[in-house]
Amino acid sequence: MDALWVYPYRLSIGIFLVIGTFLIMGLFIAFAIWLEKDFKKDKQAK
Amino acid sequence: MSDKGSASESKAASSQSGGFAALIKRTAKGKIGPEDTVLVWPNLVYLELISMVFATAILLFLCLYSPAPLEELASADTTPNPTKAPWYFLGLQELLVFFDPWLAGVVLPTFIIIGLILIPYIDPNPLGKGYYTFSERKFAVTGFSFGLALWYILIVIGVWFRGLDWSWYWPWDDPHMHQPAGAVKLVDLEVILQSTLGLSERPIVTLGRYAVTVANILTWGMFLGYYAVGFTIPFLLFRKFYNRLGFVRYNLTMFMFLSMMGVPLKIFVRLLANIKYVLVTPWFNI
Repeated sequence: MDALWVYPYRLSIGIFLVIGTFLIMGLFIAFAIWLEKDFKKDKQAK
Repeated sequence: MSDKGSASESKAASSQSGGFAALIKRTAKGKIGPEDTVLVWPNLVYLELISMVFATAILLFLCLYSPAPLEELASADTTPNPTKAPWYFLGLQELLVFFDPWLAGVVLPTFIIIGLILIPYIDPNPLGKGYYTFSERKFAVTGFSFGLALWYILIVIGVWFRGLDWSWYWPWDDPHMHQPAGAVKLVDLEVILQSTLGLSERPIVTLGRYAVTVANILTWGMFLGYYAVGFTIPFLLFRKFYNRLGFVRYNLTMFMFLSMMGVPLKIFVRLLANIKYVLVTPWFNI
């Protein structure tokens, strides 16, 4: 692995880390929003 | 009056507890008691027992379908490569790639545990208690989700992206071939400062084992500056946030938040700027 190849390789690991973190975070937040909506709907039904 | 109040409160609580409470009431033997309640035994415990049996059965079938990856008996002669911790500890093991072992193995897990314990004490906001909300607690939910997601992605990396010699393996890399040794030479930030700014390596003061150089003081300044800026900006821009929390709670919250954000920042600095440690002391490195 020569020095030129190393930088994009390490950059790709960093990008993977960031995108992965935000994807998982997005999933959690989407779930929180869905729970909130469902909770409101449940309350209105009662 | 107070009876009426507590009845409506319990009704509200039961409507908030969602599907499981409704299921208990639907399947309840005997009449519904005062304040819309049913007995724990047998109504709740019966359902819990059935759930437990179902969960055990599902786990049993999962084990038969996908057995635990046990290896041969441990031998002092052969160390497996890579040696991976159980999946739930792989986040910690992955942190060891980027941090000093004392920091990754002791300080950061301690911060996580203490931070989680502190949440109920440093969060005076009553919104979101007993019901689901995102719109009323955007900062809290986003901050917590970020930390949890960071933990998860480290586990994902440890489980699926680390192979022989703990090298990085993409799914298309051959897992049986060793990755070539990296040409990256990691350097401490103070060494970079010394060479780029032409600073002397000679210590200006010696505190026991600690030979303090000018570059060393600069790295201390950058490290403490990160926290100082992080503490000050929300104080200046979101004064209402500060006023609501008060001095102690604000500082605890910001310290935990900045430490959490510092983890990916340090990982990035190491990956992209090839910096091994931002701050070097004889006792710990960051």
